[in-house]
Amino acid sequence: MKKGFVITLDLIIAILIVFISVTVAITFCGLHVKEKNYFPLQILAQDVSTSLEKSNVLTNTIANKTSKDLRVFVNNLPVNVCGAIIVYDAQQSTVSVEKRECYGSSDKISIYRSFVYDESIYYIRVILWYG
Amino acid sequence: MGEGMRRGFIFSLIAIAISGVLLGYSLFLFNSNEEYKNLNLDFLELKKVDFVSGNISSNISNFFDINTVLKNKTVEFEINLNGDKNFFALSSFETFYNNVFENLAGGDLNVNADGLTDGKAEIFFDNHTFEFDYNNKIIKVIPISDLNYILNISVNNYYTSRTVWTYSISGVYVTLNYSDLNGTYSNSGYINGSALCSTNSFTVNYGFDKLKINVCKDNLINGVLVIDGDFSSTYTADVNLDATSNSEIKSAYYNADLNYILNDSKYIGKVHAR
Repeated sequence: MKKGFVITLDLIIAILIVFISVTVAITFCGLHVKEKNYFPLQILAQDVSTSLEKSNVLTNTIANKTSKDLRVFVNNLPVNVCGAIIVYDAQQSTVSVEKRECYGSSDKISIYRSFVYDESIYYIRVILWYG
Repeated sequence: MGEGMRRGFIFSLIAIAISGVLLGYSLFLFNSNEEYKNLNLDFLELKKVDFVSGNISSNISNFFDINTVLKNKTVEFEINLNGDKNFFALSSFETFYNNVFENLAGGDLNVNADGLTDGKAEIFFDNHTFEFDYNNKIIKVIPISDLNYILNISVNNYYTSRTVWTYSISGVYVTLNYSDLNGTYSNSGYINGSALCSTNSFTVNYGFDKLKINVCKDNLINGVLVIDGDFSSTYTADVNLDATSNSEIKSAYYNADLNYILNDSKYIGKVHAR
């Protein structure tokens, strides 16, 4: 009788279970990494919109009818983050800027913040995604 | 049992053991991932509730243009006494928050600023009240216990006459630094806060206009600070007012309600003054 392995039914089942386990584990590992990155982006979007308001960039944008400061701000986002900012008055969008040369296509998150200029209310939408 | 069968059995046991370990590990990863996700979601919700309520507080404070700073036992207010406001705009803010911004922010948002649309900005700090009547240009600080005041007032005009108030040996301690285009008057001491408001005031006349400061008994309350600007023309009258209490002042908020509920996280209270 030659030496070798004996392929039994329980061994086949065990190999199948190992294979499934490895697949499930890899899938969960992938989910873990993907979802972890979503939260800092949300926090960053809140901080971006708050900074824009507190530094008077938003009121200057409305007062001077220029998107220059807003464009400078969005172009200085972290290198791995793409973004766009849209300013609305109560009815419609008035100014829209997007970070230049940023073509990432990951999931986008957005946050809204209202601000006051000359006793009128405006709001912005900050959209961020990984580039 | 033959040698081959025994080896096969051992290999099977090892394979099942490895698969058991991997299953356990994947289950651990799954649970930790879920816990991490839930923890982050809870954190994000809390952060967003703080973000939205802070956003609305910032808007209301910007509208009134009253800078409010808490410093331990002191609260500082900065305001232009000769400022003006369109209170109809505040009603439109309320409509915007409740009809438009609620949908943008997500969750359940309700802002009630009816208490501020009467022409007066009221800020409560530890049950004391700061009140600015925009229509009549009157600032009042109504205490529920002893408050001392530091007043820095700067008027962009030349006065025609001035009456200085009389200090007492006890009462409310007031430091007054009053500047206009004639120069600066500085003094400090106790003012009898239980006297009637008509009896002792620091009054500066600017032609037909007048600015009067009292610390007196107003509506049966002693020690009320009243800064009354009787202005007919437009020039700045910047008031920087420090009110100091015997205990720490923990919060200052407008007479407006803000409720924001986002799943399990919520803010139910007043609009904070910033």
